[in-house]
Amino acid sequence: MRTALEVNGLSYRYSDGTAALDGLQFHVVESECVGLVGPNGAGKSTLLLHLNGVLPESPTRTSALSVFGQPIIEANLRSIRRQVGLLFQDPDDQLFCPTVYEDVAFGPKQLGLDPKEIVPRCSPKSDCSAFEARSPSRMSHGEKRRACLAGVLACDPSILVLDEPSADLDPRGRRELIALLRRLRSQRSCTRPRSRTRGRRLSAPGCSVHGRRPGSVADGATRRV
Amino acid sequence: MKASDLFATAADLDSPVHRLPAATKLWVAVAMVIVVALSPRDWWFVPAGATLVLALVSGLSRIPVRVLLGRLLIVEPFVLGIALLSLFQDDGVAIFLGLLAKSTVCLYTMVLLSCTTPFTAWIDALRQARVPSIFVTTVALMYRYLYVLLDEALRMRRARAARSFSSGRRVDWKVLASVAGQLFLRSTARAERIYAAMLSRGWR
Repeated sequence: MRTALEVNGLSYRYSDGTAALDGLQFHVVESECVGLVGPNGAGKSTLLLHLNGVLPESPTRTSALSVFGQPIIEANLRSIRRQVGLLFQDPDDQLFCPTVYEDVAFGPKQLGLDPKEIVPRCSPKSDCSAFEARSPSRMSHGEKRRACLAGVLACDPSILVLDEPSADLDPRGRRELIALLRRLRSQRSCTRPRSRTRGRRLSAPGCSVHGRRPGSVADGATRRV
Repeated sequence: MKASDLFATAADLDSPVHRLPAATKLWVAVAMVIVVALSPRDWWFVPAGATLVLALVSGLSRIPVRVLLGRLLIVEPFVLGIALLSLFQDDGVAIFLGLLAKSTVCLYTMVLLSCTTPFTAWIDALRQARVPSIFVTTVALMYRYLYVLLDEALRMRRARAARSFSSGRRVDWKVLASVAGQLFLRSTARAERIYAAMLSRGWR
């Protein structure tokens, strides 16, 4: 098994002085599924934003992170963002096109692929083919979530990073999401760290857990952490 | 209430006018605005003719007159303000009337266009016409986030109203100022997150 993600001494401090991450150290191997749990403000989102180089704001010459052996530095950003699909916490941040169709097509277009071929393949996966022509401003939160997921899947990432993917979904939506992730996992090897505030749901497809106090990571079996 | 309900859209209705191709409507409207705006002041028949045409199209579109005039009234004060300034020139009244008539006709053209054409169709029409993509993208983003920002403003207003126990008649300028500031901060933070989302999906 290849190492998909290697984090070695990652620290981050926001510009207002808040220390968010402090010397993190862990790795995730290919096709492993990892849940990231911690209280609000623990730095879960901050860590996830590092995984495709959105943070730190100004790319440094050396990096504490590497994706499939590639360090996350300026020169590698494009290829790393291709491999790491990041689902944002707030769907309104992610859906920036006038219609759902265009939004799902955005990623493939940037990669030089033909959206006409990709979108029909990706929208059904997250159940949003029915509202492709609609504008995100008039959709419910659950619908927005599914549209976001379709947009990420359309880029065909090898690592899926989901930031609180089941927050504000109803129980049925949550079940469907978990079933979808299971399906994806059995179809191909896809590494998925995802962030959760509630630990109890993690028993679903998660395998190992990084429990967290602010700024630090503990690694261990689900029960212990 | 969501911001999109504020502008309960008339573009979803159906009529012969709605069914026309968006590009045709867009360019006819633009041509009309240019002709009306550039016609000499004493050609009174240009705005008059345009008014007739617009009245006819409005009738065909089956949009309630109240909706159309309501939207026109929202933008009219700006025009009125500028037209009023012309009163201070020689022959001011004639200039004032000409200016007011022309700009009202132009505005109404655009109001009618926006009421009969979904915004996404405009964007497509602009793209097809090879308008530089940076402009089209900017307009599309603006349209998308106008609603998000309005929603945010509405939410903040509601939150404030839920905890305001005074009569509510007097405007509390201090609170209003801080709300405006907050809104600005929130929108800049959001802009940054959106840009990050775009980068994450390969934007260059």
